[in-house]
Amino acid sequence: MPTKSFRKSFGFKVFRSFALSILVVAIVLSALLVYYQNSMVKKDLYKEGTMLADMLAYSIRTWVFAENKDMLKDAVQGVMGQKNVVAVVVYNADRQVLIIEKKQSADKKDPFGNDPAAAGKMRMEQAGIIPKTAEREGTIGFLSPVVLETYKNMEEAIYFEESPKQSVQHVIGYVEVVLDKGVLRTEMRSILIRNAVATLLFLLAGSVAIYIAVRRLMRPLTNLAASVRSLGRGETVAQVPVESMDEIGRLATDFNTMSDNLKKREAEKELLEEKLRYAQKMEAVGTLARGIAHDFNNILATLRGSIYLIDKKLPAHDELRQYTRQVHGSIARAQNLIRGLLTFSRTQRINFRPADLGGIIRRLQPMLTNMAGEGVHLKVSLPEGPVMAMSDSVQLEQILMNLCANGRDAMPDGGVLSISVEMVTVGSEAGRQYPPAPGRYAVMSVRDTGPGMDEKTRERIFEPYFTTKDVGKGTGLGLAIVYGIVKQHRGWIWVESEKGEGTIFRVYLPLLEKNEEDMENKSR
Amino acid sequence: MLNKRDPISVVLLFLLILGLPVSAGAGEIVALKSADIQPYNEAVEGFMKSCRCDVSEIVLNETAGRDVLEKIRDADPEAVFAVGMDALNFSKTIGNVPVVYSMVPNSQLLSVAQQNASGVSMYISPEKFIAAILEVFPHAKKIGLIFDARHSGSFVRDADSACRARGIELVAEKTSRPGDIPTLIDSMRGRIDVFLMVPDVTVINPESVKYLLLFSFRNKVPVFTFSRKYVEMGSAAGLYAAPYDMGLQAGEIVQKIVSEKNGKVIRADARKTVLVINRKIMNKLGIRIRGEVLGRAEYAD
Ligand SMILES: Nc1ncnc2c1ncn2[C@@H]1O[C@H](COP(=O)(O)OP(=O)(O)OP(=O)(O)O)[C@@H](O)[C@H]1O
Ligand SMILES: [Mg+2]
Repeated sequence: MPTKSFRKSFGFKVFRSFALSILVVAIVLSALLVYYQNSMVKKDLYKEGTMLADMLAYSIRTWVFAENKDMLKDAVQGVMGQKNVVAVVVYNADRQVLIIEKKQSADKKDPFGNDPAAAGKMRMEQAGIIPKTAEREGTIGFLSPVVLETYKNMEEAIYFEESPKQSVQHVIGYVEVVLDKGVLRTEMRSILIRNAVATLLFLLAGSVAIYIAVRRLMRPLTNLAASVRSLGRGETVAQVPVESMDEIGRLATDFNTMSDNLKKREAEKELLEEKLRYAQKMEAVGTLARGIAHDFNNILATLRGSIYLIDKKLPAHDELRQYTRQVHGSIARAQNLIRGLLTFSRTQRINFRPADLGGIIRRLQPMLTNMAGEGVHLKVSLPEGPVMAMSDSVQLEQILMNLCANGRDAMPDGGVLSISVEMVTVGSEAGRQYPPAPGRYAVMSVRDTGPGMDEKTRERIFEPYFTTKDVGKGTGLGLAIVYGIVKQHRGWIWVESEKGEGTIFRVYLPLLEKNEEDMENKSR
Repeated sequence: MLNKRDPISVVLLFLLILGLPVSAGAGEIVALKSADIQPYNEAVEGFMKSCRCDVSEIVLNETAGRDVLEKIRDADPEAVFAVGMDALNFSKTIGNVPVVYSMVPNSQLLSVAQQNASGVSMYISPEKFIAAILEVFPHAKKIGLIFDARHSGSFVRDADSACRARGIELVAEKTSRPGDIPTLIDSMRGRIDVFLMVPDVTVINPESVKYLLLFSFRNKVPVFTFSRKYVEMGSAAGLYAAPYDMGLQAGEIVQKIVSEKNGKVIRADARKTVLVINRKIMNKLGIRIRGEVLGRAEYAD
């Protein structure tokens, strides 16, 4: 992800707020740590100073008592050898300076505000209270009294072991040890540096960890966003991977479902558009055909009349009469073709009525026999009772005529053409690959004993203009018309055929049950 | 002083003394101790032995002053046996009861208020000290000491003459400031064979004693002292007044005072002294202890 877009991303906001809180935590922690360590260092320095002063006060009490400056100097110089000690002053009980030792770096005035260089008196604090420690810029002073034990009752005590009650502590002097605070500063500096480095490392590590975590958290969201964008642009979108079961995961799942639905909708839309286009085309073709057919019919009628007149004028056994008869036949066929075309293209208003399929067949039987011709034996088997279906009987006749014509055409050398009607219940058996939908049907079957069809032919027979017959013999519209009619009846046509096995067409029409039929009749 | 403090009791006591015949022979006596320490107990023991009387003990340090006074007045003793300086100082507030003291450093140094008390002091004369020093350290030629003239002037004078009499030298350093003592001690280096600790409140304090003992070890100069306590601490030897014996002495004095009732003040110094030696220190200092001393002395080590 490029840095710029990351800057604007939600992930960056999350990262920023996390990083900020880490920063705050780190700063607060390190401040506390610095404060703590600083006070520790200070405490140590104080401890050191107090200890030095106390120790010195204890060890030199004899010399303070004796005011022996040589011995005091020895002892004080021992303390001066210590690292941080810059000055040591010893006072007697009258707060007069007994001895003063200092390093060159020491201030003129000590932290207590005394001016030892003047070798004067130690400054009396308010109300005679002498502070134990005092801080000044650069130095800290520690004051410890030099205490000597004496006895309440001297006479007795010098003879016998004294009880604690009898001893009295006398302050015989003071020791002042002045320490350099520079050590505090250097220590402080190193503490600060250490802490800064630690804080920085902590921040860095924390930021990296958070960055990685945020990136990981954001990746599904980023993917999703990218997918949404490309979906918005109308591109095909692959499934977004669902990585978790949280809100983001659910969002991804929802998105996938949505894009799936969109895809399905798109496909459906395309199909519908295709259908619409086809319907429009058919409409156009129909309109065109109707126009042409009408004019053509008139022309044919004229031609037919003229040929009739010519035929009449010719002598009975004239050679030319065979030609007029041929022309007459051709005109008849042309008129047939036109009729078929008209039928196919007609925007027929279908007139649904409860109709008995058996009755229709029975009515049509003489004509069908005639149509079958001499070589073909027509067999009709019908149930006793009526088999009712909501249908347009004219169209049903058309179906029957077309199927029978095809059967006859398939058996030029003769055969058996069987027509039957039956009631069938279609169940919802599993594994059934084709419609119709489960329910009760009136089924009309037309069977021939012709050569049948190979699979290639069978797949295309319902296409308009598909024919295997010679030019001028078949239009290829017959089965297309049948298909259209069956569809309008919300029925289903089914063909079974194998090469050399004959062919059977089955037309399924929704069966009109007895009570339904009554209701239909009443409503009319 | 009495009439200022409590006029009623003065009158009562007066009536008691004048109007009522007091039984002869030692009656009840209150032993008032400065503190409950071993030497004082020993003194009381010795006292009880010799006075043949009823003795009830009161420890001064353990009881508040008012209560002590009340107790003593309740007991209405024939005499008070004050053991230690504090006890003696306190007993002067009791009133018209004879007081006999013991375990007091020096009778000569008692204040005016204590002048009418009889008793036994722990005072040991310089002669005895010098004699004892020479007994333990026969080869000592120079004896050093530090003193405050205000407290120990006469003692040092006597010591000096005792030394002269025996042909040895006393190196005495005078001071009135305790602070000078370490320096003075150091100044004795090489000038003396034995250091004699003098019971002087200016000189003796824990710091100076420690310093002196340190000086003693460093320079192999033995310290001769006046109390068993310092021998235990590290002095080579010492001479002290035996408390039990002082008790005995005080008992005898009480008997005399109670029976005679003539208001006479009887004062004495301790009759019996004890030589005490720290053998370890003697060994460390490389001093051989003579057989006759060994038999006579007490050991504190
Ligand atoms: N019973 C059948 N046996 C064998 N083939 C058949 C049968 N019925 C139809 N066909 C095949 O299906 C094709 C299409 O039939 P359709 O009825 O649509 O057109 P046609 O019969 O060729 O022409 P038209 O019906 O317009 O005269 C036929 O050309 C034929 O090859
Ligand atoms: Mg046909």
